[in-house]
Amino acid sequence: MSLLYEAARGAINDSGLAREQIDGVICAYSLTEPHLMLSSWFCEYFGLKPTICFAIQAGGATAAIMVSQAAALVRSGMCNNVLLVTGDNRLSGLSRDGAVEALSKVGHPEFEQPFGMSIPAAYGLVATRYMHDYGATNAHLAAVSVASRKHANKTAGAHKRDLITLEDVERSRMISTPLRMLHCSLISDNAAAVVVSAHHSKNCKKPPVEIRGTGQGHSHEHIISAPSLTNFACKESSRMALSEAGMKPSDIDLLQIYDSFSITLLIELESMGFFLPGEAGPAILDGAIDIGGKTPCNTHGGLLSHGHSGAAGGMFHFVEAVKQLRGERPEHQASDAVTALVHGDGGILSAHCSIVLAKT
Amino acid sequence: MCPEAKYKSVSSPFWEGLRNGKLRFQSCVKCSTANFPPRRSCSACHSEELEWKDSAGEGTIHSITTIHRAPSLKFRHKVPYDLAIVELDEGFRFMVNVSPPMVGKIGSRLRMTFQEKTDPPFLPEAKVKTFD
Repeated sequence: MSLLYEAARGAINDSGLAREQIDGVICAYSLTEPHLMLSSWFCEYFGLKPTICFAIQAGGATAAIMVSQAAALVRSGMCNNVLLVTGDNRLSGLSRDGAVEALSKVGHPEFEQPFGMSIPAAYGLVATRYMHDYGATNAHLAAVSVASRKHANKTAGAHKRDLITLEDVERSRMISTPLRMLHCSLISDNAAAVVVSAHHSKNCKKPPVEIRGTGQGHSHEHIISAPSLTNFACKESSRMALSEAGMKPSDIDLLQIYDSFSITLLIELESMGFFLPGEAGPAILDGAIDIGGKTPCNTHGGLLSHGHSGAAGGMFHFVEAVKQLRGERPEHQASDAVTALVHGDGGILSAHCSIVLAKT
Repeated sequence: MCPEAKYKSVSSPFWEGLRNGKLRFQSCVKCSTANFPPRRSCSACHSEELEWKDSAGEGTIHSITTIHRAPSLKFRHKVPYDLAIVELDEGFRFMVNVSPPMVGKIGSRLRMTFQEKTDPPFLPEAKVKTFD
Protein backbone atom coordinates (compact mmCIF):
# COMPACT_ATOMS: atom_id res chain seq x y z
CA MET A 1 0.00 0.00 0.00
CA SER A 2 2.87 2.29 0.87
CA LEU A 3 4.51 1.72 -2.51
CA LEU A 4 1.21 2.45 -4.26
CA TYR A 5 0.79 5.59 -2.14
CA GLU A 6 4.16 7.01 -3.17
CA ALA A 7 3.60 6.33 -6.85
CA ALA A 8 0.09 7.81 -6.80
CA ARG A 9 1.19 10.91 -4.88
CA GLY A 10 4.02 11.43 -7.37
CA ALA A 11 1.71 11.14 -10.40
CA ILE A 12 -0.87 13.54 -8.95
CA ASN A 13 1.83 16.11 -8.06
CA ASP A 14 3.25 15.81 -11.57
CA SER A 15 -0.18 16.45 -13.07
CA GLY A 16 -0.82 19.71 -11.20
CA LEU A 17 -4.20 18.34 -10.07
CA ALA A 18 -5.60 18.27 -6.58
CA ARG A 19 -6.53 14.84 -5.18
CA GLU A 20 -10.21 15.85 -5.23
CA GLN A 21 -10.09 16.22 -9.00
CA ILE A 22 -9.44 12.50 -9.49
CA ASP A 23 -12.80 10.96 -10.42
CA GLY A 24 -11.61 7.56 -11.63
CA VAL A 25 -9.14 5.11 -10.07
CA ILE A 26 -7.92 1.88 -11.63
CA CYS A 27 -5.49 -0.42 -9.81
CA ALA A 28 -3.81 -3.64 -10.90
CA TYR A 29 -3.16 -6.73 -8.76
CA SER A 30 -0.64 -7.91 -6.20
CA LEU A 31 0.85 -11.40 -5.92
CA THR A 32 2.38 -10.63 -2.54
CA GLU A 33 -0.85 -9.40 -0.91
CA PRO A 34 -3.68 -10.49 -3.19
CA HIS A 35 -7.00 -8.83 -2.52
CA LEU A 36 -10.37 -9.01 -4.26
CA MET A 37 -10.90 -5.26 -4.00
CA LEU A 38 -7.44 -3.76 -4.33
CA SER A 39 -8.64 -0.55 -5.97
CA SER A 40 -11.25 0.11 -3.28
CA TRP A 41 -8.69 -0.61 -0.58
CA PHE A 42 -6.20 1.78 -2.20
CA CYS A 43 -8.82 4.55 -2.46
CA GLU A 44 -9.64 4.09 1.23
CA TYR A 45 -5.91 4.32 2.11
CA PHE A 46 -5.31 7.33 -0.13
CA GLY A 47 -8.49 9.17 0.86
CA LEU A 48 -10.40 9.11 -2.43
CA LYS A 49 -14.09 8.45 -3.18
CA PRO A 50 -14.09 8.32 -6.97
CA THR A 51 -17.01 7.82 -9.36
CA ILE A 52 -15.22 4.95 -11.07
CA CYS A 53 -13.11 2.44 -9.13
CA PHE A 54 -11.99 -1.07 -10.08
CA ALA A 55 -8.93 -3.26 -10.59
CA ILE A 56 -7.68 -4.91 -13.77
CA GLN A 57 -5.97 -8.29 -13.99
CA ALA A 58 -4.43 -9.08 -17.36
CA GLY A 59 -0.95 -10.24 -16.39
CA GLY A 60 1.75 -8.22 -18.07
CA ALA A 61 -0.77 -6.47 -20.33
CA THR A 62 -2.43 -4.90 -17.28
CA ALA A 63 -0.72 -1.50 -17.38
CA ALA A 64 -1.40 -0.97 -21.08
CA ILE A 65 -5.00 -2.15 -20.72
CA MET A 66 -5.40 0.22 -17.75
CA VAL A 67 -4.30 3.10 -20.03
CA SER A 68 -6.62 1.85 -22.77
CA GLN A 69 -9.57 1.71 -20.31
CA ALA A 70 -8.74 5.13 -18.87
CA ALA A 71 -8.73 6.60 -22.38
CA ALA A 72 -12.14 5.05 -23.02
CA LEU A 73 -13.53 6.40 -19.71
CA VAL A 74 -12.27 9.90 -20.47
CA ARG A 75 -13.43 9.86 -24.11
CA SER A 76 -16.89 8.70 -23.08
CA GLY A 77 -17.17 11.59 -20.65
CA MET A 78 -17.56 9.31 -17.64
CA CYS A 79 -14.35 10.63 -16.07
CA ASN A 80 -12.19 13.75 -16.27
CA ASN A 81 -9.08 12.51 -14.50
CA VAL A 82 -8.27 8.81 -14.09
CA LEU A 83 -5.49 7.73 -11.72
CA LEU A 84 -3.78 4.46 -12.66
CA VAL A 85 -1.73 2.82 -9.90
CA THR A 86 0.45 -0.29 -10.02
CA GLY A 87 3.01 -1.78 -7.65
CA ASP A 88 4.11 -4.80 -5.65
CA ASN A 89 6.94 -5.91 -3.38
CA ARG A 90 7.54 -9.19 -5.14
CA LEU A 91 11.20 -9.44 -4.23
CA SER A 92 11.08 -8.69 -0.52
CA GLY A 93 7.55 -10.04 -0.09
CA LEU A 94 7.86 -13.31 -1.98
CA SER A 95 11.55 -13.96 -2.69
CA ARG A 96 12.78 -15.04 -6.14
CA ASP A 97 11.79 -18.69 -5.60
CA GLY A 98 8.44 -17.65 -4.16
CA ALA A 99 7.70 -15.42 -7.13
CA VAL A 100 8.75 -18.09 -9.66
CA GLU A 101 6.50 -20.64 -7.96
CA ALA A 102 3.53 -18.25 -7.70
CA LEU A 103 3.89 -17.33 -11.36
CA SER A 104 4.08 -20.96 -12.47
CA LYS A 105 0.49 -21.35 -11.24
CA VAL A 106 -0.50 -19.50 -14.40
CA GLY A 107 0.11 -22.77 -16.24
CA HIS A 108 -2.93 -24.98 -16.89
CA PRO A 109 -3.51 -26.96 -13.67
CA GLU A 110 -4.34 -30.21 -15.50
CA PHE A 111 -2.35 -30.05 -18.72
CA GLU A 112 0.72 -27.91 -18.05
CA GLN A 113 1.57 -27.66 -14.33
CA PRO A 114 1.77 -31.47 -13.74
CA PHE A 115 4.60 -31.65 -16.30
CA GLY A 116 6.69 -29.13 -14.38
CA MET A 117 6.10 -26.13 -16.62
CA SER A 118 7.45 -22.76 -15.49
CA ILE A 119 6.94 -19.43 -17.22
CA PRO A 120 10.58 -19.33 -18.42
CA ALA A 121 10.02 -22.84 -19.83
CA ALA A 122 6.96 -21.65 -21.77
CA TYR A 123 9.02 -18.80 -23.21
CA GLY A 124 11.85 -21.28 -23.82
CA LEU A 125 9.43 -23.23 -26.02
CA VAL A 126 8.60 -20.02 -27.92
CA ALA A 127 12.28 -19.10 -28.27
CA THR A 128 13.29 -22.57 -29.50
CA ARG A 129 10.63 -22.49 -32.22
CA TYR A 130 11.42 -18.89 -33.22
CA MET A 131 15.15 -19.62 -33.52
CA HIS A 132 14.35 -22.71 -35.59
CA ASP A 133 12.03 -20.83 -37.97
CA TYR A 134 13.98 -17.58 -38.36
CA GLY A 135 17.61 -18.55 -37.77
CA ALA A 136 17.98 -16.28 -34.75
CA THR A 137 21.06 -17.04 -32.63
CA ASN A 138 21.93 -16.92 -28.93
CA ALA A 139 23.91 -13.76 -29.69
CA HIS A 140 20.72 -12.07 -30.95
CA LEU A 141 18.93 -12.93 -27.72
CA ALA A 142 21.90 -11.76 -25.68
CA ALA A 143 22.05 -8.46 -27.60
CA VAL A 144 18.62 -7.55 -26.19
CA SER A 145 19.84 -8.02 -22.61
CA VAL A 146 23.07 -6.10 -23.23
CA ALA A 147 21.11 -3.19 -24.76
CA SER A 148 18.73 -3.04 -21.81
CA ARG A 149 21.64 -2.75 -19.35
CA LYS A 150 23.14 0.11 -21.35
CA HIS A 151 19.85 1.96 -20.86
CA ALA A 152 19.52 1.07 -17.16
CA ASN A 153 23.11 2.18 -16.60
CA LYS A 154 21.99 5.72 -17.48
CA THR A 155 18.80 5.58 -15.43
CA ALA A 156 18.69 6.55 -11.76
CA GLY A 157 16.61 4.09 -9.73
CA ALA A 158 17.00 1.15 -12.11
CA HIS A 159 17.30 -2.19 -10.32
CA LYS A 160 20.35 -3.51 -12.19
CA ARG A 161 22.64 -0.87 -13.64
CA ASP A 162 25.96 -2.69 -14.11
CA LEU A 163 26.91 -3.11 -17.76
CA ILE A 164 27.06 -6.65 -19.13
CA THR A 165 28.62 -8.19 -22.24
CA LEU A 166 27.34 -10.82 -24.68
CA GLU A 167 29.73 -13.25 -22.97
CA ASP A 168 28.28 -12.43 -19.53
CA VAL A 169 24.81 -13.28 -20.83
CA GLU A 170 25.93 -16.55 -22.40
CA ARG A 171 27.75 -17.55 -19.21
CA SER A 172 24.79 -16.81 -16.94
CA ARG A 173 22.89 -19.69 -15.36
CA MET A 174 20.68 -21.68 -17.75
CA ILE A 175 17.03 -21.50 -16.69
CA SER A 176 15.21 -23.26 -19.55
CA THR A 177 16.87 -23.64 -22.92
CA PRO A 178 17.72 -21.36 -24.62
CA LEU A 179 16.89 -18.81 -21.91
CA ARG A 180 19.53 -18.00 -19.32
CA MET A 181 19.19 -15.90 -16.19
CA LEU A 182 20.21 -12.71 -18.01
CA HIS A 183 17.52 -13.32 -20.67
CA CYS A 184 14.82 -13.18 -18.01
CA SER A 185 13.12 -10.15 -16.47
CA LEU A 186 14.03 -9.20 -12.93
CA ILE A 187 11.98 -9.72 -9.80
CA SER A 188 11.77 -6.39 -7.95
CA ASP A 189 9.89 -4.17 -5.54
CA ASN A 190 8.54 -1.06 -7.22
CA ALA A 191 5.46 0.99 -8.11
CA ALA A 192 4.41 3.37 -10.88
CA ALA A 193 1.39 5.55 -11.51
CA VAL A 194 0.03 7.82 -14.24
CA VAL A 195 -2.94 10.16 -14.60
CA VAL A 196 -5.01 10.15 -17.80
CA SER A 197 -7.10 13.28 -18.24
CA ALA A 198 -9.59 14.83 -20.61
CA HIS A 199 -7.71 18.13 -20.59
CA HIS A 200 -4.25 19.29 -19.67
CA SER A 201 -4.50 20.98 -16.27
CA LYS A 202 -3.66 24.73 -16.12
CA ASN A 203 -1.59 23.92 -13.03
CA CYS A 204 0.50 21.29 -14.76
CA LYS A 205 4.03 22.56 -15.25
CA LYS A 206 4.87 19.82 -17.75
CA PRO A 207 4.16 19.66 -21.51
CA PRO A 208 1.15 17.55 -22.49
CA VAL A 209 1.45 14.05 -23.98
CA GLU A 210 -1.58 12.73 -25.87
CA ILE A 211 -2.96 9.26 -26.34
CA ARG A 212 -3.47 9.10 -30.12
CA GLY A 213 -4.40 5.46 -30.54
CA THR A 214 -5.17 2.28 -28.60
CA GLY A 215 -5.51 -1.33 -29.72
CA GLN A 216 -5.78 -4.80 -28.26
CA GLY A 217 -5.51 -8.40 -29.47
CA HIS A 218 -6.27 -11.65 -27.64
CA SER A 219 -5.81 -15.19 -28.99
CA HIS A 220 -5.37 -17.63 -26.10
CA GLU A 221 -4.27 -18.00 -22.50
CA HIS A 222 -2.23 -21.20 -22.17
CA ILE A 223 0.70 -21.89 -24.47
CA ILE A 224 -0.78 -25.25 -25.43
CA SER A 225 -3.69 -23.34 -26.97
CA ALA A 226 -1.61 -20.71 -28.76
CA PRO A 227 -2.45 -20.71 -32.49
CA SER A 228 1.26 -20.24 -33.22
CA LEU A 229 4.50 -20.17 -31.26
CA THR A 230 5.93 -17.36 -33.38
CA ASN A 231 2.99 -15.17 -34.43
CA PHE A 232 1.00 -13.33 -31.77
CA ALA A 233 -1.82 -10.81 -31.35
CA CYS A 234 0.60 -7.90 -30.95
CA LYS A 235 0.24 -7.72 -34.71
CA GLU A 236 -3.47 -6.87 -34.39
CA SER A 237 -3.12 -4.61 -31.35
CA SER A 238 -0.40 -2.44 -32.89
CA ARG A 239 -2.16 -2.25 -36.24
CA MET A 240 -5.31 -1.02 -34.48
CA ALA A 241 -3.47 1.58 -32.37
CA LEU A 242 -1.41 2.90 -35.29
CA SER A 243 -4.47 3.04 -37.54
CA GLU A 244 -6.40 5.11 -34.98
CA ALA A 245 -3.39 7.43 -34.70
CA GLY A 246 -3.14 7.70 -38.49
CA MET A 247 0.45 6.42 -38.37
CA LYS A 248 2.67 3.64 -39.74
CA PRO A 249 5.47 1.87 -37.81
CA SER A 250 7.98 4.20 -39.54
CA ASP A 251 6.25 7.23 -37.92
CA ILE A 252 7.16 6.01 -34.42
CA ASP A 253 10.31 7.58 -32.94
CA LEU A 254 10.47 5.70 -29.65
CA LEU A 255 9.43 2.22 -28.51
CA GLN A 256 8.65 0.89 -25.06
CA ILE A 257 7.89 -2.79 -25.50
CA TYR A 258 7.18 -5.42 -22.89
CA ASP A 259 10.43 -7.34 -22.38
CA SER A 260 9.51 -10.19 -20.02
CA PHE A 261 12.28 -12.15 -21.74
CA SER A 262 14.74 -11.16 -24.46
CA ILE A 263 12.79 -13.37 -26.89
CA THR A 264 9.58 -11.41 -26.19
CA LEU A 265 11.17 -8.23 -27.47
CA LEU A 266 12.59 -9.84 -30.63
CA ILE A 267 9.26 -11.41 -31.58
CA GLU A 268 7.15 -8.34 -30.82
CA LEU A 269 9.43 -5.90 -32.68
CA GLU A 270 9.09 -8.01 -35.82
CA SER A 271 5.43 -8.86 -35.42
CA MET A 272 4.51 -5.18 -35.08
CA GLY A 273 6.42 -4.30 -38.24
CA PHE A 274 9.40 -2.42 -36.81
CA PHE A 275 11.79 -4.98 -38.29
CA LEU A 276 11.41 -7.66 -40.97
CA PRO A 277 11.14 -11.27 -39.70
CA GLY A 278 14.53 -12.53 -38.51
CA GLU A 279 16.11 -9.05 -38.72
CA ALA A 280 15.52 -7.63 -35.23
CA GLY A 281 18.38 -9.65 -33.68
CA PRO A 282 21.12 -8.53 -36.09
CA ALA A 283 19.83 -4.93 -35.95
CA ILE A 284 19.94 -4.90 -32.14
CA LEU A 285 23.50 -6.28 -32.22
CA ASP A 286 24.23 -3.28 -34.41
CA GLY A 287 22.76 -0.74 -31.95
CA ALA A 288 19.29 -0.24 -33.45
CA ILE A 289 17.52 0.09 -30.07
CA ASP A 290 20.21 2.18 -28.35
CA ILE A 291 19.95 5.94 -27.87
CA GLY A 292 21.08 7.22 -31.25
CA GLY A 293 19.89 4.03 -32.96
CA LYS A 294 17.13 3.71 -35.53
CA THR A 295 14.40 2.99 -32.93
CA PRO A 296 15.46 3.52 -29.29
CA CYS A 297 13.60 0.97 -27.18
CA ASN A 298 13.12 0.56 -23.44
CA THR A 299 15.34 3.51 -22.71
CA HIS A 300 15.01 3.00 -18.91
CA GLY A 301 16.21 -0.61 -19.09
CA GLY A 302 12.81 -2.30 -19.28
CA LEU A 303 11.81 -5.36 -17.30
CA LEU A 304 15.18 -6.93 -18.00
CA SER A 305 17.17 -4.25 -16.18
CA HIS A 306 15.01 -1.44 -14.76
CA GLY A 307 12.82 -3.80 -12.74
CA HIS A 308 9.71 -5.96 -12.71
CA SER A 309 7.29 -6.30 -9.84
CA GLY A 310 4.27 -7.26 -11.92
CA ALA A 311 1.89 -4.74 -13.47
CA ALA A 312 4.21 -1.88 -12.48
CA GLY A 313 6.85 -3.30 -14.81
CA GLY A 314 4.56 -2.47 -17.71
CA MET A 315 3.59 0.92 -16.25
CA PHE A 316 7.27 1.95 -16.13
CA HIS A 317 7.29 1.69 -19.93
CA PHE A 318 4.59 4.42 -19.98
CA VAL A 319 6.38 6.59 -17.42
CA GLU A 320 9.60 6.40 -19.46
CA ALA A 321 7.77 7.14 -22.74
CA VAL A 322 6.22 10.26 -21.20
CA LYS A 323 9.55 11.41 -19.72
CA GLN A 324 11.30 10.96 -23.07
CA LEU A 325 8.58 12.79 -25.01
CA ARG A 326 8.71 15.65 -22.51
CA GLY A 327 12.49 15.92 -22.79
CA GLU A 328 12.98 15.00 -19.11
CA ARG A 329 15.86 12.55 -19.67
CA PRO A 330 18.67 14.95 -20.70
CA GLU A 331 21.31 12.48 -19.52
CA HIS A 332 19.86 9.79 -21.81
CA GLN A 333 17.56 11.48 -24.31
CA ALA A 334 16.14 10.04 -27.49
CA SER A 335 16.52 13.31 -29.34
CA ASP A 336 13.59 14.72 -31.32
CA ALA A 337 11.26 11.95 -30.17
CA VAL A 338 7.73 13.16 -30.87
CA THR A 339 5.85 9.85 -31.07
CA ALA A 340 6.04 6.66 -29.01
CA LEU A 341 4.44 3.24 -29.10
CA VAL A 342 4.06 1.47 -25.76
CA HIS A 343 3.16 -2.20 -25.72
CA GLY A 344 2.21 -4.63 -22.99
CA ASP A 345 1.51 -8.34 -23.15
CA GLY A 346 0.32 -10.79 -20.56
CA GLY A 347 0.10 -14.54 -20.01
CA ILE A 348 2.30 -16.42 -22.44
CA LEU A 349 2.14 -13.80 -25.23
CA SER A 350 -1.61 -14.22 -24.78
CA ALA A 351 -3.10 -10.75 -24.21
CA HIS A 352 -1.76 -7.72 -26.05
CA CYS A 353 -2.38 -3.97 -25.85
CA SER A 354 -0.64 -1.18 -27.78
CA ILE A 355 -0.87 2.56 -27.14
CA VAL A 356 0.40 5.34 -29.41
CA LEU A 357 1.49 8.50 -27.59
CA ALA A 358 2.55 11.83 -29.06
CA LYS A 359 3.92 15.13 -27.84
CA THR A 360 1.47 17.87 -28.70
CA MET B 1 -3.31 -32.74 -5.38
CA CYS B 2 -4.42 -34.98 -8.19
CA PRO B 3 -5.90 -32.75 -10.90
CA GLU B 4 -8.63 -35.18 -11.87
CA ALA B 5 -10.22 -34.92 -8.44
CA LYS B 6 -10.82 -31.21 -9.02
CA TYR B 7 -12.10 -31.25 -12.55
CA LYS B 8 -14.75 -33.90 -12.79
CA SER B 9 -16.88 -32.79 -15.68
CA VAL B 10 -15.33 -31.96 -19.02
CA SER B 11 -11.92 -33.64 -18.65
CA SER B 12 -12.77 -36.86 -16.78
CA PRO B 13 -12.84 -38.96 -19.99
CA PHE B 14 -9.25 -37.82 -20.59
CA TRP B 15 -8.05 -38.94 -17.15
CA GLU B 16 -9.96 -42.22 -17.42
CA GLY B 17 -8.26 -42.80 -20.75
CA LEU B 18 -4.84 -42.40 -19.17
CA ARG B 19 -5.65 -45.09 -16.62
CA ASN B 20 -6.28 -47.40 -19.57
CA GLY B 21 -3.12 -46.38 -21.40
CA LYS B 22 -4.88 -44.15 -23.92
CA LEU B 23 -4.38 -40.48 -24.84
CA ARG B 24 -7.90 -39.19 -25.58
CA PHE B 25 -8.98 -36.01 -27.31
CA GLN B 26 -12.24 -34.46 -28.48
CA SER B 27 -13.19 -34.51 -32.14
CA CYS B 28 -15.86 -32.12 -33.48
CA VAL B 29 -18.68 -34.03 -35.14
CA LYS B 30 -19.56 -31.01 -37.27
CA CYS B 31 -16.17 -29.79 -38.59
CA SER B 32 -13.77 -32.63 -37.61
CA THR B 33 -11.39 -30.28 -35.76
CA ALA B 34 -9.39 -32.04 -33.06
CA ASN B 35 -9.83 -30.14 -29.79
CA PHE B 36 -7.45 -30.07 -26.83
CA PRO B 37 -7.58 -29.12 -23.94
CA PRO B 38 -11.11 -30.48 -23.30
CA ARG B 39 -13.94 -28.03 -23.71
CA ARG B 40 -17.73 -27.71 -23.92
CA SER B 41 -17.72 -26.52 -27.52
CA CYS B 42 -15.50 -26.74 -30.59
CA SER B 43 -12.82 -24.04 -30.67
CA ALA B 44 -13.20 -23.72 -34.45
CA CYS B 45 -16.98 -23.76 -35.05
CA HIS B 46 -18.55 -23.56 -31.53
CA SER B 47 -20.59 -26.74 -32.05
CA GLU B 48 -21.31 -28.51 -28.77
CA GLU B 49 -21.21 -31.92 -30.49
CA LEU B 50 -17.78 -33.15 -29.45
CA GLU B 51 -16.95 -36.84 -29.27
CA TRP B 52 -14.03 -38.42 -27.46
CA LYS B 53 -11.55 -40.40 -29.55
CA ASP B 54 -8.38 -42.33 -28.76
CA SER B 55 -5.16 -40.94 -30.21
CA ALA B 56 -2.71 -43.44 -31.72
CA GLY B 57 -0.17 -41.70 -29.48
CA GLU B 58 2.26 -40.81 -32.26
CA GLY B 59 3.42 -37.27 -32.95
CA THR B 60 6.16 -34.78 -33.73
CA ILE B 61 7.95 -32.29 -31.49
CA HIS B 62 6.67 -28.80 -32.30
CA SER B 63 8.98 -27.23 -29.75
CA ILE B 64 11.08 -28.42 -26.80
CA THR B 65 13.03 -26.91 -23.92
CA THR B 66 15.27 -28.39 -21.24
CA ILE B 67 14.34 -27.06 -17.82
CA HIS B 68 17.30 -26.41 -15.55
CA ARG B 69 15.46 -24.46 -12.88
CA ALA B 70 12.35 -26.11 -11.51
CA PRO B 71 9.20 -24.02 -10.87
CA SER B 72 8.82 -25.48 -7.37
CA LEU B 73 10.29 -27.91 -4.82
CA LYS B 74 8.20 -30.74 -6.27
CA PHE B 75 10.16 -30.78 -9.53
CA ARG B 76 13.62 -29.98 -8.21
CA HIS B 77 14.86 -33.57 -8.17
CA LYS B 78 13.97 -34.01 -11.87
CA VAL B 79 16.21 -31.20 -13.15
CA PRO B 80 17.33 -31.20 -15.94
CA TYR B 81 14.16 -32.42 -17.64
CA ASP B 82 12.62 -31.84 -21.07
CA LEU B 83 9.26 -30.21 -21.69
CA ALA B 84 7.77 -30.27 -25.17
CA ILE B 85 4.71 -29.21 -27.10
CA VAL B 86 3.93 -32.21 -29.26
CA GLU B 87 1.77 -32.12 -32.38
CA LEU B 88 -0.11 -35.42 -32.33
CA ASP B 89 -0.83 -36.97 -35.76
CA GLU B 90 -4.56 -36.42 -35.19
CA GLY B 91 -4.00 -32.64 -35.29
CA PHE B 92 -3.94 -31.44 -31.67
CA ARG B 93 -1.16 -30.17 -29.41
CA PHE B 94 -0.22 -31.63 -26.06
CA MET B 95 2.37 -30.62 -23.45
CA VAL B 96 4.45 -33.49 -22.08
CA ASN B 97 7.84 -34.47 -20.68
CA VAL B 98 10.15 -36.18 -23.16
CA SER B 99 12.67 -38.91 -22.53
CA PRO B 100 15.51 -39.45 -22.79
CA PRO B 101 16.24 -35.82 -21.80
CA MET B 102 18.24 -33.49 -24.07
CA VAL B 103 17.85 -35.75 -27.09
CA GLY B 104 14.59 -34.57 -28.73
CA LYS B 105 14.62 -31.73 -31.25
CA ILE B 106 11.97 -29.90 -33.31
CA GLY B 107 10.75 -32.47 -35.80
CA SER B 108 11.68 -35.56 -33.76
CA ARG B 109 9.06 -38.29 -33.87
CA LEU B 110 7.67 -39.46 -30.53
CA ARG B 111 5.48 -42.17 -29.09
CA MET B 112 3.40 -41.53 -25.97
CA THR B 113 3.92 -44.07 -23.21
CA PHE B 114 1.83 -44.68 -20.13
CA GLN B 115 3.64 -46.00 -17.10
CA GLU B 116 1.66 -47.19 -14.17
CA LYS B 117 2.88 -45.35 -11.13
CA THR B 118 1.76 -45.91 -7.59
CA ASP B 119 -0.31 -42.72 -7.55
CA PRO B 120 -2.77 -41.26 -10.03
CA PRO B 121 -2.92 -39.49 -12.40
CA PHE B 122 -0.59 -41.75 -14.45
CA LEU B 123 0.87 -38.93 -16.49
CA PRO B 124 1.97 -39.92 -19.98
CA GLU B 125 5.52 -39.43 -21.15
CA ALA B 126 6.79 -39.12 -24.71
CA LYS B 127 9.63 -41.36 -25.87
CA VAL B 128 11.82 -40.13 -28.70
CA LYS B 129 11.72 -42.45 -31.71
CA THR B 130 14.13 -40.72 -34.08
CA PHE B 131 17.70 -40.16 -33.02
CA ASP B 132 20.20 -38.18 -35.10
